[in-house]
Amino acid sequence: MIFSIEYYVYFILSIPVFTSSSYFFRNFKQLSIAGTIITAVNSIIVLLIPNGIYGPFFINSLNRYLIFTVSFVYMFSSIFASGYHRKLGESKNLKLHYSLINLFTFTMLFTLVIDNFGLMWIGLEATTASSALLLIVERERNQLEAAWRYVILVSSGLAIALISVLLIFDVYGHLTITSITNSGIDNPLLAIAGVTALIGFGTKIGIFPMHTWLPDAHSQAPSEISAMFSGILLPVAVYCLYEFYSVTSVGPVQGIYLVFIFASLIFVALVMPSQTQTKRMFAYSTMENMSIALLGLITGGLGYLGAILILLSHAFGKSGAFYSSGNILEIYGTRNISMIRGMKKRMPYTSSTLILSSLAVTGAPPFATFIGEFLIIYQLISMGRITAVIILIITLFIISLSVMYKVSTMIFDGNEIVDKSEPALSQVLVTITAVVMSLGITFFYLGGMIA
Amino acid sequence: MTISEILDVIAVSLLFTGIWAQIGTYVMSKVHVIIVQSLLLSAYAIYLGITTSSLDLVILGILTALLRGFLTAYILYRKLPERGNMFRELSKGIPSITILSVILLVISLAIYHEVFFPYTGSNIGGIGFAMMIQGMLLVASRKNKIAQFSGYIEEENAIILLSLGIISLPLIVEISVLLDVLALVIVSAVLISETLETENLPEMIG
Repeated sequence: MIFSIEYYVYFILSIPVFTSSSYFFRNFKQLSIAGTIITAVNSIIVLLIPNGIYGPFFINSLNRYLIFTVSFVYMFSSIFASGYHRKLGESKNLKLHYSLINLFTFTMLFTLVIDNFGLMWIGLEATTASSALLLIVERERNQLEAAWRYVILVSSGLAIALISVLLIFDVYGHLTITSITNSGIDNPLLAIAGVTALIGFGTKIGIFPMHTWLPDAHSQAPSEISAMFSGILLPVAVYCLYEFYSVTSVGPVQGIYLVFIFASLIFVALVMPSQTQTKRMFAYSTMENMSIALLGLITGGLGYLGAILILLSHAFGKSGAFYSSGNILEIYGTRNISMIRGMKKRMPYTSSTLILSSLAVTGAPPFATFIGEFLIIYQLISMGRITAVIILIITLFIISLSVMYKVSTMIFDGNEIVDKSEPALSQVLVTITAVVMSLGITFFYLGGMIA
Repeated sequence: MTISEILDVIAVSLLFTGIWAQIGTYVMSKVHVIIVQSLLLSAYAIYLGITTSSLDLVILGILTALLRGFLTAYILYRKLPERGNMFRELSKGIPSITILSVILLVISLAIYHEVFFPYTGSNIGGIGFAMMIQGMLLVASRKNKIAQFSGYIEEENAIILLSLGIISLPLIVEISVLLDVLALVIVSAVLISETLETENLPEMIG
């Protein structure tokens, strides 16, 4: 039984590797999309696999859900890209783009399932290598600059995270995650490892003040890549940081993590009201969502469940927000919020997906992000961290209000001019499906399927 | 000279290349730093590998020399405009940054001595740590992409030295190769960009 599950994980990992060869085929889009569908179906089966170690891999209560979100957002993004980049035809650029999307997904799945801190670090570093060129499919000046900043800052940050791997190896003598997690050694060197992990992986997650690449890369990348970055790549980085935190949380480490998390939340609350571009606004929203998810994970208890709900609902909600932003960019030709008006009549479907996805990412009921935030706040109260709760509520209120105000002006202002126009049907359908799935997480939770 | 002394001499030379990288605005000197630093690290790894009979370290040394010392440096050299020897970066305040780098060097060595050394017992690790801070400073303080890239390479080299100094990771060769692949991706990003200076584009402010 164990051997079969190990080979099954190998099989899942091999699908995106195989479809990355689509570059050499004429029907590269169809081949890639077929691969994404197979991966997505198999990710549902992974949800049913019991927790455990399977050869070099392991499945636990967190990575199974992330495998699910990675696979589905991968599928949505591949389908979205077929419409969004139709002007590129069957160019080599687009073929390379599809191949890299597949490789990028493989690196994320590998990072999630591998039971070794060193290989996990390599997997996350490989996500940077495989995704850097995804930003520049259209070779625009802004994209080149954003890609440069992304690669140089994130790789510099991850180099620091390698110190954490080094110190963990120095303390334990091996890097097997499942063995280390249960050993419970209290060594001061682990506290340093915890802090270097926070700085290193925090750069990838977008923790303040190492976040500077994030709004640039998210805003300039093609929308399906922004969705993958925000919806799945950053959660994978959060997962890595959490695994490192689990074995290094000695002494003042939790306090240091909390300081950085709340600094990120306060920073986002300060900059969000002044945002002038759609995708940049959602990029900062991702900083907030990831900070809260990390907060839930490190506080544990109900906070841990809250974090899972946020990561699940956010993956689809934020994907929907970025797909909607891509559709708006296609029709209006701008990311500038002040120049986007009259969406309600001009883009009725995208208006709906934009407002629903915005509600999802800002933690409004009935989305699971709301339940997740509620559980995290409950956990903080039960731990007696009232100051943290007050800061959290105030920052969430400011951020939500800012996002919803800007989205409302785009949709409800200037509807006098009626000129209905929507992007390709595949783009609209993918966007709607992503938002519906974000909403569906609530029902999965209420139905007892997420525990 | 004993084996340990030879390794110490190479490590201290690496530290000096870290300061060398901060000095001056000629971009060609950054390429020279990458070559010299990578070859020194390669010599360190190969010599350590031979003396400890570790094939992994010898392979690591050879890969470092080939990929970083020659290939990456060659690609960067080709990227420089005509009369590349005279090409200067537009970054401001270089003299102040150089002084700051020396101050940071002392501080980082002191931090390593106080925080890490009691647990690791390795002086070489301290040099790796100090080089890493120098690399980060180079990335953060410069606007020229080749200068920033040399900072990234310095960080890579520092991590390898840190690992060799404290404890040799079992995956060190794989990690090093991966970092090199990533480095080449970065270089290719430089290659296809229109300008060598980072820009503050209007859509990327705020």
